[in-house]
Parts: sequence; structure tokens; C-alpha cells
Amino acid sequence: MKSTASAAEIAQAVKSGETSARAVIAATLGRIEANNGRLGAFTDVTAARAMAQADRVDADVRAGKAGALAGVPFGAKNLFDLRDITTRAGSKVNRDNPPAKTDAHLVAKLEAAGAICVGALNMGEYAYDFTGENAHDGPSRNPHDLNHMSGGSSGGSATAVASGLVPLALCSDTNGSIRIPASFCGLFGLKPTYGRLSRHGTFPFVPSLDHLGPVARSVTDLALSYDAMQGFDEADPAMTKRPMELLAGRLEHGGSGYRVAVADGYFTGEPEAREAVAHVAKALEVARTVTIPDAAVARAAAFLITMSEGGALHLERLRERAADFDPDTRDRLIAGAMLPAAWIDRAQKFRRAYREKVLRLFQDVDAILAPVTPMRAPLIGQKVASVAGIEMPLRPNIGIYTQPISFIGLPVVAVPVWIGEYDLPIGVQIIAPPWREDIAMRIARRLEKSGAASAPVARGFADFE
Amino acid sequence: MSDVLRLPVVEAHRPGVKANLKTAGKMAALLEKAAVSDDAEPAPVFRA
Repeated sequence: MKSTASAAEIAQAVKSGETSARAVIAATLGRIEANNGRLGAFTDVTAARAMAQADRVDADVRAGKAGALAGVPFGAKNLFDLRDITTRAGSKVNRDNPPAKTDAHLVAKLEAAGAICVGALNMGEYAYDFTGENAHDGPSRNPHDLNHMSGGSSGGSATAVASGLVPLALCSDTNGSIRIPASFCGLFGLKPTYGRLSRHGTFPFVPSLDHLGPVARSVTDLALSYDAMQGFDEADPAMTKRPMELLAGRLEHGGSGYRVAVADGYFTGEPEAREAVAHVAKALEVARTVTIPDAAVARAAAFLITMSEGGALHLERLRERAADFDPDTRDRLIAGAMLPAAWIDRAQKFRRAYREKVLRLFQDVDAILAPVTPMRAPLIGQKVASVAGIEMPLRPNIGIYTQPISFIGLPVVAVPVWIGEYDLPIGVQIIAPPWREDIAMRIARRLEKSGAASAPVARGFADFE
Repeated sequence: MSDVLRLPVVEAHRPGVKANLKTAGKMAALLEKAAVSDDAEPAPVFRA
């Protein structure tokens, strides 16, 4: 299979006997071997495990029991447990932990559907970055221009998919870590409703904000993986008991007819982001605007809760091994551990009221468009950027448009657009009411079909068959 | 505060920690301008 093949195409070819899972995985491992050195996508490659799973999938195909993702290779951000691998969560400190005894819940769900995990992916230390840079493993690079950031914290996941190493990767998103790498690397990303997918077997960051989800190069691939990962898991206390709502066969139904509006005010400050949203709005023939109230305050509250919960989570490690942290991460976490409880209490009270206000907007609209990032992917190593016309530290400000949305757990699909003379993409959020991933996914599919959004394998990586 | 937490902050780390506390203070100032009533319930475990 070519590096440009989608998960759906690979599964179809394996199920039909056109190729085997073993052949797919052998080719995948060859691509990783040839390219990972310059991309920095994978931190662990699980070749023997992958080949063994490929043989199981091929046996299932012969027995007429092939799953929906038969033979599809995928990678998992290295905060997902993979049995026999130490879950490093982007850190140096965690490397002293014993290997995981079992796979994370979502990894197991994907493999139960026939997908094949080929390794663990690079990420920002303890998921506390938006850049895709890692002080210990080096940066994961943007395949569309290797001098630019992949975005974080799921940078390796986006790098692996945008370069065609794998068609699918697992990510986490606390404040934007699925959507931001999708924006910088030109991918579709799904951050489901908080509580939709089990986080069991992943290293946490901010439990009241942590989400998991996939990035892919097509909306259909997002749907196939999302469907495979759904289902109640009592091991995650935040999980919903709602029935599964499968999407793969329902993407083509609708997509038009939804009441869509563009988020105004807070979300319109940056020219590149504004152009991206206008491009999507034009494709959807949307002229209506809506104001998400108190978005700046919501971002501030999410920022404080993140610092505080993150600082609390890592307090013991900060006491014992502060020198082994990435300095940028360490200083934020130490400060977070010392924040006054009064601020966090107020942030949590505000959070409930903010949620009620935003949910009222969905009485009149079905989906809201907003930018993912204020800008296209910055250069690796860049420390400042112009935000709202002011030179500001880059790292904490990449998430200004994603934080107010994940703060209240809304489902979002990030769609990549390519506009102007630039070689780098930028993403747009399609935001839906809780549990209505179907709306955001159908709108994303409509944009994909029209060509207004697309996620090609990066030039230079699509040709090495 | 670091003494109470038994979280030593060595001299070399202090500028970075102070800068982050300053940023947090700006965020908190924004939050304190927002109306939150006395009887508002917090959302410590959030469910969408």
C-alpha cells in the first residue's frame, strides 16, 4: 500500500485479499526506519509486536472474522500504555518506571477491530506544551516544512500521520493537543465530548480536562477509529453510560441543513486565523455570527485549573527530581503547585456558569466555527509571536482559541485548510453541542468532499514507494 | 509557600517560577472581574 493510502483503503485491501496485514506492516516499518530520524515522530517502534498482531489479523481474515480496521497501522502518543513499554509521557522522570503490563483501553479497542499498533509517538513533556518540542527526545517536526513546529502536545502523532508513516494516530487533548497539531500539520482531528472515550491506561495531566481522540487524513478514518473506540468502561470515572453512536456509515447523511455560525469577538483577532474561518464559512455558505460569552475569562480559568491540577499531579516528582524536567515545564508546574485555592475555586464556579451560557447558544445554532490556532506553524525554537498585535510568549498562547472550548468538554472536529501563498496549513474548529460529534463530523465530511478542507501527505513523503 | 509545600525552589529556577506566577496573576485578575455569585456551585468533576 502507498503511504497515501487511508485507513479505509488499507482495511478494504486487507479484507479483500488484495494485500496482507503482514505486507502492510512490513512496508510501514520500512517507512518508519527510513524517515523517523528526520521527523522525530516515533520514540518507540514495536516491530515484533506489530508483526505478531499482523499475523493474527491475517488469520482472522482467512477465517472470515476481519474487523473494520483490519491491518491498519497506527501509533499512540507515548502517554498511552503499551504493554512491555515504559509509558514515558514525554518525560525523563517516567523512564525509570517499569514497563506497562497491559495496553491502554483505546489501544486495545483499536486492535480488537483489527488495527495494528506500530509504536509510541513523541510528545511534549507531560503534555504541557503546544509546540511539539521535547527537551529529551528532540522535536517532532512538521512534515510540510521540517523547520517548523508540529504543534503539541501530540506532535509526534501529527507528524506520523502527515508524513504518511501511518494513516491514524492516538492523541490526548487537555487544552488543544489534538486540535493544535492537526492545525499545524494539516490533519483532521476529533476531540470527542468529555467522557465519551475511556482514558484508562493513559498518563493523566489535568483529569477534569483530559480528552482522548484520533488524528487522520480523512474524516472517514476519524469515524472508523472513533466507532471502534466507543463503549462504556467503568475504569474511567468520567465516562458516559450513553449508548455508542456509530458514525462511519452515517457521514454522508446531512452535512447541509445545519444551522452554523461563526464565532465573533474574541475569536477574530488574528488575520491568518480569521482568513481560515472565512474560507470555511464561505464553503458552507455561512454568514451568521454568534458570540461565545466570556471566552477570554474561560481561557484564563482553564489556564489556572491546568496549572494547579498539573502542579498537584507532579508535586512529588518536582520535590525529588526537579532537575530532570524540561525547564519550561518545570517552572510552570512549580508555580501551579503554589496557586491559591481561592483562584481555583473561583475558576471551577465560573466553569459551571460559563457552560450554561454556551449551551444556550446551541438552542439557535447546531455548530460554531472558530479558529484552532492564532497562526500557522511557527519555526521550531521560536519563543515569541505577535498575538493581538503584541509580542507575547508563544508557548502558552498557541491555545487561546482551543482552551475556551475544551474547558467545557464540547466535541470538536478540527479541519485543515490551505489558503493563500503559504505552504503550511491552518485549522478551523467545528464545535458542536455535547454528544453531537455526528454534527461536527458531517460538516467536516462536507468540507472534505467539496475540497475546502484536505489533509494530503506532505510533499517529499508521498513519493517514497 | 514552597516551604509549606516542601517544594524547594533552587535559585536558578526562581526567575522562571516567578514569571509563571506573574502570568497566573494576570489570568486570575481577569477571572476576578467575572461575576460569580456566592451560591455558585463549583464543577470540580466536570461532566459534559
